[in-house]
Amino acid sequence: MNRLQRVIDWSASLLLFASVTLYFSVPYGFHTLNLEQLQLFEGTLTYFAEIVTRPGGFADYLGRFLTQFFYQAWSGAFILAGLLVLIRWLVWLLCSRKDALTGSLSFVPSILLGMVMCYRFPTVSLLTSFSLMLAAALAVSRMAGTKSRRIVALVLIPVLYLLLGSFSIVFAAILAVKERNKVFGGTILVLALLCPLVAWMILPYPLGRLFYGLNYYKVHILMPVWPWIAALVTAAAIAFAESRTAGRTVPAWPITYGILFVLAVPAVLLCSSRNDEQSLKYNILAGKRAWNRIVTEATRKAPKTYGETACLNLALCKTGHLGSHMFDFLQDGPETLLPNENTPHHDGLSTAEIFYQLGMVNNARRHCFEALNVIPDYQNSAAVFKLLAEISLVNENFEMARKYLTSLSHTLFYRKWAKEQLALLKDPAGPFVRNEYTEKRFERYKGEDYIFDYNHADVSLRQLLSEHPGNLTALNYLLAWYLLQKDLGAFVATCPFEGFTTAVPKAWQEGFLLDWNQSRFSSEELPDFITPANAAHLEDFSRDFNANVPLATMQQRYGDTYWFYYFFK
Amino acid sequence: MKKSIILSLPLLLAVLSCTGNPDRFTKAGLQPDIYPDYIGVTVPATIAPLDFDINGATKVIAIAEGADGKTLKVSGKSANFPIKAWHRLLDASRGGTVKVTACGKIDGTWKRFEPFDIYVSEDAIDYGIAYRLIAPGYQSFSHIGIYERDLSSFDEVCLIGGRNFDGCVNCHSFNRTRPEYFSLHVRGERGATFIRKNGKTVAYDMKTDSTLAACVYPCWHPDGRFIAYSTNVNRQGFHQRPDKVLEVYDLKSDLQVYDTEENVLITSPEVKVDGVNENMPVFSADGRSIYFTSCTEQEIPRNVTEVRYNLCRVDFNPETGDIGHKVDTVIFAEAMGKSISFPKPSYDGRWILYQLADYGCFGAWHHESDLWLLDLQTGKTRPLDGVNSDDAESAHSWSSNSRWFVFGSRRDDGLYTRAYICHIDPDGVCAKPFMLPQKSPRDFYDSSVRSYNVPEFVSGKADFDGNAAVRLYNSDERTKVGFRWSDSSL
Repeated sequence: MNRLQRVIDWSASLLLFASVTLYFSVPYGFHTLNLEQLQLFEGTLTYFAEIVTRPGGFADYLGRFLTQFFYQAWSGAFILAGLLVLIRWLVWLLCSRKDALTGSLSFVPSILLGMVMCYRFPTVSLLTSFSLMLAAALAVSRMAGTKSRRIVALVLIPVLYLLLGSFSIVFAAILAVKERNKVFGGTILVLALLCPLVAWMILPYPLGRLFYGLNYYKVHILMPVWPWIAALVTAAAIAFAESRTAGRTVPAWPITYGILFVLAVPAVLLCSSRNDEQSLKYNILAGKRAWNRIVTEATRKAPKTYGETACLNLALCKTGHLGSHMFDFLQDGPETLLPNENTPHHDGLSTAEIFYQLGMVNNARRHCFEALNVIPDYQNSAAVFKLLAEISLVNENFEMARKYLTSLSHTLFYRKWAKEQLALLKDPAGPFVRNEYTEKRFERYKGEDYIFDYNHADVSLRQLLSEHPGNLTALNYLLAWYLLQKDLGAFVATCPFEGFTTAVPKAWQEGFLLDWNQSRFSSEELPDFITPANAAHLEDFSRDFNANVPLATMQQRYGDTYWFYYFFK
Repeated sequence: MKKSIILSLPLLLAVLSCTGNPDRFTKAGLQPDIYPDYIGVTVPATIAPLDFDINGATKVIAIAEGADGKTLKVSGKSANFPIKAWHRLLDASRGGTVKVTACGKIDGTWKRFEPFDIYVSEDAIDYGIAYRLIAPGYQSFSHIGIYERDLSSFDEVCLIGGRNFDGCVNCHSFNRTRPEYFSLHVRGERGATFIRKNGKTVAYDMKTDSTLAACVYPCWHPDGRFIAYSTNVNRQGFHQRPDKVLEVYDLKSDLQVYDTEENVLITSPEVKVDGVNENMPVFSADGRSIYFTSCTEQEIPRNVTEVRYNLCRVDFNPETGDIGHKVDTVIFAEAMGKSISFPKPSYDGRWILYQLADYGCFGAWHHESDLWLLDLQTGKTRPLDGVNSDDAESAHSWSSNSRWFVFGSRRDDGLYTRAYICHIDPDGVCAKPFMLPQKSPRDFYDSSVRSYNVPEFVSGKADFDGNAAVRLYNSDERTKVGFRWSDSSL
């Protein structure tokens, strides 16, 4: 390699690092954050022992350790980029000949693994396992003494299977290629294939999972093929580098690297899901109670699914804009207000957050447990544990709170908050010190018991409100519920039109006007809280509606009104 | 005086060896606040070490002194006793007590607490217990599994389920603790009832045109030929008051008996009555009766608090599998304003242990749910006051010699059920129950977010091939069962 080639190669690595960091922290940042939400990494010996005792446990532990830093998208992206560049470098170092072709081939495993990281449920363990396996292969391949090197390689196979998982087959393949000895190559490959088989006889896992790798993807019934193609490419690249003879011509460096990166971009985009990213954005922001951010994001790109709209409605409510802006966005029935387990694209944690904010803590807890149960690799979630701890604090179930807080106190990013709460719990008067939890304790439902019925959630909201007339979240949700249910009578009877110190919100006015229009004589004078502009707008709507103006035009003119929802949804 | 000085010597030595500064060692003047609460409990001589933590202590020293005067000293974050030495200690203390003296480092100061006793019963206990480990969940479920725990150690093995299985393992039952007879219902897309008998496991489709649904709550007949099941159409509802959680209720349920030899479900009109829900059938110790719970159907969920089950009995013919025609009410709980669930006759035929709650068929989620004992000799029934707590007790099961029972209780934190074991003497006097021992129990139970559901004694290792059962579950291999009405001549 000459100096220019070296510069090109370094620049390519730098480009990989920069583009991965940028991609996973900005346009795809919520995928990165989501990985952190799907685990609870505890710095305890018990947690360590639980994980490392499975095949691939050490790499998994390391992967989980790194995943906790995904608490911030940029640090998660930085780690991903670092691991992918490290993998590239290890493959490159394992290639004995350095030319443009092997150089670009050595990027392929990183790109393929990067594609997997764009899926919804990848694990960082995939990358830690792959990189550690390559490092082990590199270290062994550089050992002096053929005999000792081969003995070490054979001994390491079961050890690596236990520590790093099924990529021990990659280690075997690399060593087989580099040693160029058929007997050794066959032996080490057979040994590597035997490891999952032996594990299958001892451990309660299906053979397919033991071969694929227990911790390489969270959903074990939908495991992507890319990690193993990456493994194959790695072995092929090294074999290619070993077998090539001098003097053969290779394309110029800029050409091969250029082709590689041109192909990599659509491949990564193909594995990415903008819809998933959008969904995760709303769910995660709702979990973080970033109400203003949700509203801002919705203004930039409107929510599409029930779950997203439910998060937005909560954010609108918490920022005092539900009545004035809810119909600026797509509403599709009461499920866009209060999703349930059967609502498509709903998320357990954000649904729990809605109920928590309302003061319906039992429902909140229920959805927290649902959120935990749908984590595909059965891990706990620090974000869910935090909400469960808060719910327990509100419910005065301090023993439960202590349990969740203790787990959180073993984490890196939730520790401070958890320790503060635990310190409060130590003091008998602590849990009653005025704070957001004691405030919420007053707002929650404590009245007559009954079984919650989603179809009649208005009953629960009404009960909540009757106990705490100051619970504005419950009031707004009740009014919105009636509007979305198209129950104008109940809406008008409930809405305190005369009690508003500022203008009555637009949607409430529109609900009132529609009811007025349908049930009163037109000669009656409208009450003062209805603005003339809104009244005139309804007249326009009625005229267009009666004139059978096309739906698209109606949507264009009245899409942000309750009337459009009422008649066309 | 002399004796107490001699007894104090090992403790003094222990403190010296652990802290090197006896001046800091102060008498607390009271018994320690330990977790789990093992103070004054009665245990079998083969039980695993009763490891414990002292609440608030960062370090613990404990000295257990057996009836023969020999001592066992441990120190550390928790009092974790070595298994072999612990067993020697208990073995030498059969019928007597183990005296435990503990000291803990609390807020930087060593405190020595008053000793407490652990009573060692001469009554043997079975090999282990089997239970379902389940995280709270309602619509979806996480890694549920049936696990077996060796009671003499901390060894736990997964029989079926856990991280390698996507089905929801449900009601499990062994025949009077004999694990070679095993019934297990699995829900999910490929739901089936697994029955293991004579070393062979078969997956059954238990739904027939003449019955309500699949088989749910099981109980083996002592002879191993029949299994009594309820068949239930159940739902879950969610309470709104913060102090209540969940309600499991049946829209409909019936009783039926499965004949494993004839491959047929048997029922009779008397236990499949319109407007009445029959539930949770169990065979009597002699196998000639079936006890079950029964209630009048209510409008659900509106009148869920009016659902009250009584304890009933009907004859059973173990030669033919036929069910009698006369249903007796054994306990009319409705009159007490209460509801009975999970009746469990002891295998010596003397008692029926059952769960009593204010209403409903599933008291495990009712804080007021308690264990009650019915004396089948006198017909008298009473709550087990020393056993019950302020929270739910449920899902109990007898040991093979009927001297112990295991039950689930939410007393620990109000949400996660833990397994407790209780000694009962021939007169029905119950000792203080103890929580299933674990190594470093505070850490263990703090990090455990799964409940010990339906613990049941097993007299030996179940030796159940969970992987084979999973393969069976994933296959389409299902044995259909027949149906017949009970012979009217019984």
